Amino acid sequence: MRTGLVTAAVFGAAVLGACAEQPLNTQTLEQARAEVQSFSNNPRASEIASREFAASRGSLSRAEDALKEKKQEEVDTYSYIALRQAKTGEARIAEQAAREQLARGNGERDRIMLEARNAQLEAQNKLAAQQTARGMVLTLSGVLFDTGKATLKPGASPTLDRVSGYLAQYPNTRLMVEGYTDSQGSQATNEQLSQARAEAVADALVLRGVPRGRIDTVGHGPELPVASNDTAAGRQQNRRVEMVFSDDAGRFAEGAKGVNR
Amino acid sequence: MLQGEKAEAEKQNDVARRSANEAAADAELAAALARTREAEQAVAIQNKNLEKLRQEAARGIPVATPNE
Repeated sequence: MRTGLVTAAVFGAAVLGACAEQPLNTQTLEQARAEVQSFSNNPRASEIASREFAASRGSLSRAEDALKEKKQEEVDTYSYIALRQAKTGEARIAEQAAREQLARGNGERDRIMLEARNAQLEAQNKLAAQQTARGMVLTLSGVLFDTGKATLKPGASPTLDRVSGYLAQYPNTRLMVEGYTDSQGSQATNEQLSQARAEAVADALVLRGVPRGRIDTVGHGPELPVASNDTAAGRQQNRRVEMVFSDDAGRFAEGAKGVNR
Repeated sequence: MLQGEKAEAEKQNDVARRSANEAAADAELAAALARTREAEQAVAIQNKNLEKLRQEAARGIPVATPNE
């Protein structure tokens, strides 16, 4: 009897001792501690994710309290919530960083476009072309052709060099070369002559490396004079070749033909 | 309500409340991750576009419109 009582007492004490010493599972809590610590160490946490910053620390604190009170379920719940709140805060910081990068990218894009536009304007200025309603127009006039001839004189070379350089720089730009004559001679002859003069300019550009497919030619004869045909000086101005540049997409303005309107 | 039933009901309420709180935390995290992913994808697309723009500008090709 006595032996039985002693045995029961020893067994009971062992069971009680085992219950009292059984530790709580803190695996989730440890993850939460590490995550909240890492999140709190982020210098932007309190600035960008202040709500998650406070909430995750609060949840972790409640999990620690539950641990002291040995409430396993509450330890797990608050640890789980703290872990997710910290991860949410980190995601919020990453999102903000991406949005800031987007804003910087927009600035960079604007800068590149402005520089490209400025470079184009500078190139146009070097070309010394006129900006008109039908686009950029460069006129070759003066003594570039002998009367009745379509052979281009060497005086045109510097201008043609500039034009070919510009076209090399802007490969989407096309060129319309328009030939004009004065009013002397027959209409048919003048039309042929103006076409031949436009072709001569196109050939000179091709020799400078401009693909022929980017150049259109047309002869307008004595149409659209820019000066009076009653004087020699006026007729010389009317014997001209105009080069019309397309826009950036290779398109010409509607009704591009004619003087610099 | 008996004392035992009341305690059981409170326990179930407690479980439900904790589950709801966990679900809310999950939902907030999922939403935040989705927004972050979206913003990061936009950055990746922008980087590609910027690279193309830089190459075009370097070649002298007039660049695309600003609101791409």
